[in-house]
Amino acid sequence: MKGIEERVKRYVLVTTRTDEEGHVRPLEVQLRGKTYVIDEVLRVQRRNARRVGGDGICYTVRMGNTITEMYYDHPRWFVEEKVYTESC
Amino acid sequence: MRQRAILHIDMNAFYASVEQHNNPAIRNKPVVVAGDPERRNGIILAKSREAKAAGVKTAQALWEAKQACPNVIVVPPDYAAYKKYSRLARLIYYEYTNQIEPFGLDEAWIDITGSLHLFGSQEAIAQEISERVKSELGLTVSIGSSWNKVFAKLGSDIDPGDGIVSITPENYKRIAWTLPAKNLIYVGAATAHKLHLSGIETIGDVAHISDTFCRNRFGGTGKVGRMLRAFARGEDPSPVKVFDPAKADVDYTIKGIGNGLTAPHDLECEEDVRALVWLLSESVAQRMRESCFRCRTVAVGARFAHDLSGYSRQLTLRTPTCITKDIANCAMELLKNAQPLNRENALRAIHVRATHLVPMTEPIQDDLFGNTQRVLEMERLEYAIDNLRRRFGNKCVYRMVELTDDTMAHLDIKESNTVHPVGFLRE
Repeated sequence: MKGIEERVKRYVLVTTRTDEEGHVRPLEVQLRGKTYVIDEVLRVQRRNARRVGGDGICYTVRMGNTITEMYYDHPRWFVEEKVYTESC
Repeated sequence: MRQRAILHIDMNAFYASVEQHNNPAIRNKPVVVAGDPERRNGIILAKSREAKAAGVKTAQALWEAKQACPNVIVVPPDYAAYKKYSRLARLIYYEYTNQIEPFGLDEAWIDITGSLHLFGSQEAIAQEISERVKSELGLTVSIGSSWNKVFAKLGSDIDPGDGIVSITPENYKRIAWTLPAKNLIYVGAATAHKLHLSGIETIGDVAHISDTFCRNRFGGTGKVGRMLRAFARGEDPSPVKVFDPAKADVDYTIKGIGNGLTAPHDLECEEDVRALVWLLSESVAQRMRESCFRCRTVAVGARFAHDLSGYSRQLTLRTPTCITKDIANCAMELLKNAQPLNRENALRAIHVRATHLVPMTEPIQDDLFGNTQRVLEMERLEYAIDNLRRRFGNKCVYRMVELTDDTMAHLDIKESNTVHPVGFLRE
């Protein structure tokens, strides 16, 4: 049994590319020792990360079949990592 | 002339909201942002909605707040975060107009008269701004919408939170005129009492005061009274000043530069007072030089430790100065002449202020008996120290006199200086 799903703020290592116009494109993100390639950036908008606190430029990205969000809050990146706590 | 469209945006419980936004663990709980009781400035700076409901009030001492709400969560202030969110909010407003006038970190007037044809009605723009601040920054705002700044601020003041109040030419008598007179901007406790003694209780009453009343009650030509009457009638013509995002603030004429501090311990001797006065004078002088001013007048204020009563004194100098030593020596002279600096007259807080500022480009009449060369050398020395501090931080150079008190030796008064709302009636 997985337990109760919660979200925690996790700062992550992100490899990015910046073009001549200053647009930032995240290429890879490392989480829990694994590197995930970002196939596509679907949306970029400033948003607050309600579940874990804080805010930043929210990148909605696709990694394979998974769509998720990562936040750039200068100068760091963070994600809302899923963790599971034991249920009572 | 087209009627103006002005919004006043007030971020709800700003400091506390920022803390709750960044830390989900303290959301929906009574939270206060307070100074450090160890440094004797443990005053409530801001309270969350939950703390307010429990009876906590801003400016209360921490112990009073804990009496009202024993399970209150106390958080130290994080001014860097508040400035960040204040700037981010203004950048949102800037997408609708360039006429933005901040009023402190958490409030701003914006004039959207020229933007209605681009973004829709006044209420639609207000709604959009409110939703964007919530979704992008996680904070809520109260917005007052009207055709002048005074009623716009009134609208945001009376909104309980996360709402929009429109005061229009059709409804202002019903909404604004029924409110207590003290709700009108620039009507503080003293003016409200003065009006009350004459039976003036509501904003509607203020709107009907006569010229004779203005002269008799407010003195002089009655200008203040006539101004309040115009405010009450919605006749405030003052424009919303243009925002400069590079400065992140509005242009205004600096009339004085000051710094004050509640000391970590009572100041019971001249040495204690001197250390703090020099720290404050250092910051004031440095800020003056950065703004390219000299001052003609030095003012001090002091508050006694035993009953918190205070006094202030000032002295006009023979020649304008921006040298720390001149300001500090003048401030010390004022304090020593006012009261003996001893345990019986121990001080809790001191404020040093430089006024009657003159630009550095203005020629100075030399003092026949003074030493102009020495003054120039001192100024050059001060600039050299300023350069060192700019490169290595304010704590890289200290004067010996500032190090005589261990509890204050680590203070960086200039760095922690926060400029509070500019007055509504400024140039």
